[in-house]
Amino acid sequence: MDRLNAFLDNLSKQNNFSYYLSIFRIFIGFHIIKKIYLLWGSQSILLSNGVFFEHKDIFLDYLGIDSTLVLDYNTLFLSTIVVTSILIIFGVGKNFTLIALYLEMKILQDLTYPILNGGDNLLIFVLLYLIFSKCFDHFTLVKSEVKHGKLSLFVSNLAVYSICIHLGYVYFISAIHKIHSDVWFNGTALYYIMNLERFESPLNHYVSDSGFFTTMGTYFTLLFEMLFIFLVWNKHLKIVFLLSGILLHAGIYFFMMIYDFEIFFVSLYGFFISNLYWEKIVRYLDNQVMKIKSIYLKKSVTMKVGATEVLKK
Amino acid sequence: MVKKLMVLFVFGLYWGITVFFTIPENYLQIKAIRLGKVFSTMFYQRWSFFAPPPQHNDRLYYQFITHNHDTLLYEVLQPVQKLRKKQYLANNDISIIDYVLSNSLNNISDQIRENFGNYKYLHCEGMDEDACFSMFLEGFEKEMYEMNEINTLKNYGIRLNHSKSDRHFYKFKVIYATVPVAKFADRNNPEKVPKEQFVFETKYYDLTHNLWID
Repeated sequence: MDRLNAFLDNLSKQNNFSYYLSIFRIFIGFHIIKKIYLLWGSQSILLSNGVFFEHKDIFLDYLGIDSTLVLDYNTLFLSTIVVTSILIIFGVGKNFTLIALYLEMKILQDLTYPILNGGDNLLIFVLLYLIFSKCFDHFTLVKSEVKHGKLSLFVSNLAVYSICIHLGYVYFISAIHKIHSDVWFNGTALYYIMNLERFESPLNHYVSDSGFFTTMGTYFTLLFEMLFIFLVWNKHLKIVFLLSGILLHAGIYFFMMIYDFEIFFVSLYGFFISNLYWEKIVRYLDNQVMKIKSIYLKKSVTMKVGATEVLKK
Repeated sequence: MVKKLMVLFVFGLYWGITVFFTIPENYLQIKAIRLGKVFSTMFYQRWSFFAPPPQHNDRLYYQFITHNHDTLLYEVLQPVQKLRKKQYLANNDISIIDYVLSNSLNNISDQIRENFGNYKYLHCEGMDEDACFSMFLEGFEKEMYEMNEINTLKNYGIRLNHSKSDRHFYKFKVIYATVPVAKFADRNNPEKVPKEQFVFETKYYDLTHNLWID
């Protein structure tokens, strides 16, 4: 009982992820704006019913709302997502804006399902968890002095743990599926993946036929995905797993040409780094900005004084 | 304390349900298939990345027939994928076309495989597999032509026809084939070149009357 109390207290004292939550909120805003920018030119393909891609009924239709309305006003819909993302970046509207962004992204993802990847799939869950988090503590346009209650801090910390658990769970389930497959088990999976024309980058031919690279790469992926969720919490092994993850995702980025998926997954690693460390980084950057500002101010004062003296003469 | 325990209970319940419906398929999951569909409506997730990886490359052919009965065959995936490679690091627009076409093909073949598996189990005991597949296709045809993915491929055919309007095509059909990746052991053996394999083809689509014809 004492242990349970201590556990509950530890999660209710403070926002254990306040700095990275705020940094991540800004990242998510830019990440989604980038996604919309990349989709913008393909509206006629993806968001015009019957022109090329045929749409299925989405959750809006089950609620009695005609989803073709979204398709009819696709430019307005995409613009709304951009505006909501900008509000998120500046911290306007707080969690209500996050709920709006979650719903908008859910609609967009349901309408563009053939182009989604694992990064998009995890993104929608992360947005859901962010709704429950206190991600507006720093870097907002309007600084609010509202103190968080213990229960809301508890919910916020659990929401961030959900992000971390979901990331580790994705790797783990993926590894469970992989060990069931012969080519992963025998260490040749990477050879087949690298030789798929769909995912064949200009770099693949350097390594795709190498037995050493194939075997090592296949087992490295398996081991990393299998163990991440268990060992990333260990303070000695954390750095090894985070660096291995960056290596794995950089490999997929450059060799398989799957881009935003990798950036998004790596961005989640920040939640495994302690709040104190993020605070130090933020303070350091803050000091640097102050220094630059003061140098600039000094220069402009000197210039003004110099100009006045010239005028006097 | 009570409120926190309630939150913890909801947290545990959410994760319990998520794990139950996302672990590899098992007896209990199949028993709860209806609930699984409800769960997927809002919490769809699939994490079996490349497990197993496809061991073939796709070929998507459009066979066009002119009014003079000339036949022209276009393969559309390879050029798209070559362009994707050429525009490395900045290939978003062409990737979207690739994803729509490739995923449509994969979804159709997944549907055929899944439905044929059930059909074989229920109707083909002791029967030759090819004969069973022909019987299955007769029944599955109506459902197949109502699939969004078939309509997406049809729409691409219509776009292709517009881009080659000087040819005066009358009808077209879609043919899906695959080319296996050479086995790992044969990767340096030039004599073992895998052969293309037919997967399925559609009926003809009449471009004048805008309908599928036999």
